[in-house]
Amino acid sequence: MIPVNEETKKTHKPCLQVAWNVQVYDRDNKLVEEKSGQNSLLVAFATKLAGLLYDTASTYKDITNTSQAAFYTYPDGSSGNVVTGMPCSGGGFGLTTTGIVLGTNNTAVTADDYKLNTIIANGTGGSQLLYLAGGGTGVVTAAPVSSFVIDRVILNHSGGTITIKELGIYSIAPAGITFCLCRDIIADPGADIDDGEYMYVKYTISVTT
Amino acid sequence: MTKLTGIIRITKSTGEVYEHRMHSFVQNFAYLLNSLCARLAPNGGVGLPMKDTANTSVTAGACNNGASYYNWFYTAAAAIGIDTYGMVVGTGVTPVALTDYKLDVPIAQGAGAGQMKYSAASYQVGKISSGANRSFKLIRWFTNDSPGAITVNEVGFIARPYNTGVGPYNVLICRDVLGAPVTVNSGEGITVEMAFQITA
Repeated sequence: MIPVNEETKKTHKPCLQVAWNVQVYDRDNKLVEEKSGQNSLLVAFATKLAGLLYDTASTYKDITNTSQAAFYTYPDGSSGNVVTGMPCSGGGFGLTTTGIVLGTNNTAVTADDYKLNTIIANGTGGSQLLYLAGGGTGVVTAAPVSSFVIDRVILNHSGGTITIKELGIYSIAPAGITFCLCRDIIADPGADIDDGEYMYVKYTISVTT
Repeated sequence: MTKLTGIIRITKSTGEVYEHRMHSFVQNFAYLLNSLCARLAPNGGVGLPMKDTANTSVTAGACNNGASYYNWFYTAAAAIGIDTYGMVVGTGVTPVALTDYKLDVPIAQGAGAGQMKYSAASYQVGKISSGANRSFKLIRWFTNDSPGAITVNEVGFIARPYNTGVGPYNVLICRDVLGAPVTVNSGEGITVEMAFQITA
């Protein structure tokens, strides 16, 4: 083999950067904690990308939803059991089936993860969080980077402290089928959201020449 | 931590193998991915942010009437002889820019001087592979039936989004300039594989 490019596998840059940042604010909107990390795309993302590139009616149920059920991946929505597109930046108020979601279990990420290990439910009960509607930005280019943001604000009105140890992006397909596109962990001790505080979560997805 | 990486592997008919670590998605790809994530409608949702291969502004919208999603690739099935979309090769060496909308110097389909024959596009059939590195591949063959040698210096992928009333149009989503030229002599051919993988 003749290596055209000497870059080693270890230093092989991702062709798509996915960076996350979480900020915890108190009742006075004062930043009390901030953590960051990057790059935990999962097989579900690659499978969706493959389906879009192939433009073919898959004969395999090759993508796994958050309930670990397998589905076909079609690019054009032409058949039943379709899993097309990857809408995820507009998670509606209170929804944990799409958009950014949070969890409490920081077991190491594997490529085959299909959900957060222990997702935090929406609500104001014990150990629950209030998920506001998700959002995001359009593409911003500042050479050599083109990027866009997917974000969400999540409130703690549970009455107690909740420690966040994992986060991810869920995408919902037609018929309410949800897939986990990426999952990241926050190393111990995690990030605490006290009662009355909120967390701003931001994913920045970028390509770099 | 897992990451999406890309590798271009070029195998000559003479047996030599060249490998290039890709990282050159261009701005068009970011627009397409953004519109998919946001489920934005064509035109009205995002305007005309992309440039097609003719440098014409086109939409990157991702959905149509809420249920049928915008098919923003429709590409891998590029037929034999098609050099306007799918995987493409060129001779240019200009460094990659985010705003690239076509190859620097594309190699046209044909058997004339400086031309190569494009096979039908292919791809790894079936499930995304198993193992530590989970990958899928796009594959295309190029044959040099021209009278002279041709030096391949760049590889790209042109998507072909369309939906009812929108497109199809040809949009370059990635371009890589190889670290070293690949010379394809008359009568020789190359297989170009573009593999994307989730790597732990």
